[in-house]
Amino acid sequence: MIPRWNMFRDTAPIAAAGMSIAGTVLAQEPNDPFRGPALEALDGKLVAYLPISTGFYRAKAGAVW
Amino acid sequence: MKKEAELDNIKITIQDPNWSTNAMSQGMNALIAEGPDVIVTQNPDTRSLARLMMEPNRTVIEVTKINMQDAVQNDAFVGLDHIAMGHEIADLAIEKCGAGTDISHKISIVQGAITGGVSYFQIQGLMDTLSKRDNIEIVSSQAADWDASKAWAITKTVPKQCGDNIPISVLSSTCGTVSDW
Repeated sequence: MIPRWNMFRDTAPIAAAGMSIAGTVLAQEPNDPFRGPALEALDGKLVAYLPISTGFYRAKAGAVW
Repeated sequence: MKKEAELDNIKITIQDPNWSTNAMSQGMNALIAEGPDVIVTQNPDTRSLARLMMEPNRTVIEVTKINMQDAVQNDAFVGLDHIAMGHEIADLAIEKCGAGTDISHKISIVQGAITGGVSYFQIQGLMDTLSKRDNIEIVSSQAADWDASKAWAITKTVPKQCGDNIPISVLSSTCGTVSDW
């Protein structure tokens, strides 16, 4: 049996993938001349992030890690 | 940060002190012992971790602070110029409540946390501008410790307290409340 077309179910992953790619491109293209050299310097390095709280930012962004 | 790190081949560890200065202090001690290449952090206030923040300066660990400057200078600070922001807030208060306005020249200040990097530096800028003006009267400067209920209570109470024993009016009560929230 051919599954019935469900617009939300079938287009949501495509939209999510599109947004993901768009987000990646945006994240790599800020107009900042120091960004490239800074990222090169950090290549392979270990960065430790110790904020006051990660919950605050998660809650503000509505993100799930 | 995690997303960017993954995109750019940067290894990242994340700790969550959940607003506890003690947990943050322990976390910082542990990181100094482990020796990552970079520590990105915030200092909950200008003093609590000051002694600890001096340690990485004696090692090769680079420290970047986000938005919360403190008493010790490390390698980088990424955040607002809070002193300049204080100057701008003061200019706005002068414009609305200073000479030439037909309202009382009294203002109330509601701070976040007195020793916190945001409040401490914003108040420096604010007071630097206001102290040169004799047509603004600061009737209250209190910390709400980033507690919205406390800030609300201060903001509500102060105008009633500074009414010069006469009924509250635009001339006797405060002209405005300035805050670094």
